[in-house]
Amino acid sequence: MQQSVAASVVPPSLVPTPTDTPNFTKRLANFDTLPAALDYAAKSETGFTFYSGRGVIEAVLPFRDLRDRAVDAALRLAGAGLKPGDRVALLAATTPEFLVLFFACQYVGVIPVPMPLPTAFGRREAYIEQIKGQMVSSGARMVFGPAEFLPLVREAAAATTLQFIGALDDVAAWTQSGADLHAAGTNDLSYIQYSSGSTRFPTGVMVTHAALMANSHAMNRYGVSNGPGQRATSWLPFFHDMGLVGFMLGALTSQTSVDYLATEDFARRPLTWLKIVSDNGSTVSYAPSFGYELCARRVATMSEGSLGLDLSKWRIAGIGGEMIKPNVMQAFAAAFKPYGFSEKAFCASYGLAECVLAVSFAGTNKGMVLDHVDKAGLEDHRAVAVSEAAPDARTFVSCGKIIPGHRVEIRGEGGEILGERQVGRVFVDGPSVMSGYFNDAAATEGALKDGWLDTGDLGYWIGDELVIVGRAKDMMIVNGRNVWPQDIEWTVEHIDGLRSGDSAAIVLVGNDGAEKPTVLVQCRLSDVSERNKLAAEVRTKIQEASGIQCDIILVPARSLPKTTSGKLARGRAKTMFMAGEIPRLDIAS
Amino acid sequence: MTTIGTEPSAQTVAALVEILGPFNKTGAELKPGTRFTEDLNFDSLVVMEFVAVVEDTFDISVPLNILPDVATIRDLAAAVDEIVAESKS
Repeated sequence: MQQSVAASVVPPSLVPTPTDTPNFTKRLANFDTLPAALDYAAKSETGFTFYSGRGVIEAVLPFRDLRDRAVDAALRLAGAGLKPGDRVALLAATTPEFLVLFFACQYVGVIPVPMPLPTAFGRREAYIEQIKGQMVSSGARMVFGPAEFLPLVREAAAATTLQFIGALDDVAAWTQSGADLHAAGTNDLSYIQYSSGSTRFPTGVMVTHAALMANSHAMNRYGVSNGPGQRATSWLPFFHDMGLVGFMLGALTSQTSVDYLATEDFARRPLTWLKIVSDNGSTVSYAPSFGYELCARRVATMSEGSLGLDLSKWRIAGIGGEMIKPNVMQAFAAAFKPYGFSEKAFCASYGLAECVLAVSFAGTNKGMVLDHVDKAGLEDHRAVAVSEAAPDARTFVSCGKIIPGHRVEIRGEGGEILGERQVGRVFVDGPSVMSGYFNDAAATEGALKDGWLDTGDLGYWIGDELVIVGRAKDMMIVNGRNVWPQDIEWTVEHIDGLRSGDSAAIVLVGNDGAEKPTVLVQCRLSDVSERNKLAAEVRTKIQEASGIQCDIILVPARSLPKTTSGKLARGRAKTMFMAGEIPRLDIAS
Repeated sequence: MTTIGTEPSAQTVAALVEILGPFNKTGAELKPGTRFTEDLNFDSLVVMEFVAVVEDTFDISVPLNILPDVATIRDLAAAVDEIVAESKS
């Protein structure tokens, strides 16, 4: 275009959406449905801005344009025969196209199912297995994604009955339906999220419009105190609840501008995240501990103050998604203090996809509230406060107060309600709790008891503040990813010479709170070099299949405990190993 | 689709081996057949950090969709050769 040469380096269309809209009142997610929320957001000037890894704007999507494009695509989806209640899987790339399709589905009552992107070297089979599981479980009729990933989708879809695989561009050529848009009811399903469950048995959380709004409202009003002047930045993927709800749906339903950096670009250049926060004066951004860790590590190699960042407007530096590592957060705060970062901005929070996203927030301008407890007491289900310097102190971070309109109970092994500083299972009740897992009555029954959601997490109260200490269920969380021990054990037990019941995947916790995924493997070999080989093979196979690094510990044959029905007693295996009741076989050469 | 499996240029392999040095935590020998996951224990975060260095070194952009097919240094070198050739054409 000739004009742009004479005008400015940045074409006028590629300016970030504004933070505020003049003469416009923000409504904090008090809508009946997502289409109603987008219709209102379309009256503002706010929206989404997409940045490249080098911090250059690649696309701008004001809510107004998002609505127009979504309605247009919605009528074409309906024209292609999609009916309300049908499922459509979407590869959740950080792109305008994903958002257009997600909202196109909303306008015709179709249920979008966000799916992950591949991120690791050489894991083709594992990735294909994962998306295949989600497509089959959701019964998706169509799949959309960026063109470059479609060959992988086609491979995964080989054995399914999908009707169409393609990109948003394909939809543009379809004929629009002459019918009206579908008016969803507040209790209708809005989307399905596969964020928990194992690869082989995926469980899709069903989220209704009402649940989404309840959680988004609580989050915006009480969690981050949204209002005029607030702006967000995010690199969290749209296939996880923190990215999808926290920084997409939650922002859109309160007409708040968000600046996006794709997850893979953040991982390549983490400091671009902070540059965007600085350049646009972002006030809210979230990450799991490891996101802060990557930045602190990168900046350690640079001379102090050389980055030219201004992080002084960053009011809420949220932490969530995995166990919080206080020392990592403190290192980040120290590294970025010269750039105006305040450790008071840290806001710990707790949540899970089964409750849309959020359950509790530490609140604004408080920073991390640390609690030091006695390690031995924890094993006895008591969180006994000790001094930070005590030799056996474990440090936890308070996740704050429960969001209004919701209740949390901490229950003992017999189901009794526990009081302050007693460790038990965390149960949640309230309007955000899911109605169940899609097409999976057994998993739903396991998670919902009399309307209360069993989170599978262990925690305790300090007054009315919730502290999470770990998982009661066996799930392992590694760098923000949920990894199921069953998947790891299945991989291990398919290695030549090993059989079912030969392994137990557990997480061991160091004194600093660092979690180390560990696999106990029963070994019948007496030769040390053969043992070494086996351990190496187990480690490699887990890497290939699950993409995580585990410590491999060989234990004698028949040393792992079994339940009465002959299944692995994983929890007991962990307790026994920690107590030294299961010996470790020598693998040193 | 990249033509993984074709023989990459020796220069590209040598350049990759050099930048892999700081990422080699297992002490594995760095040769064309060295596998990122099995021999070097790369997890997805390390992969992305390493990809950033590759992109800066060759002044290219490495698309995410090739990662599942890249198992060895040879695979990556072939992919880099192809991306460099495409960006010149």
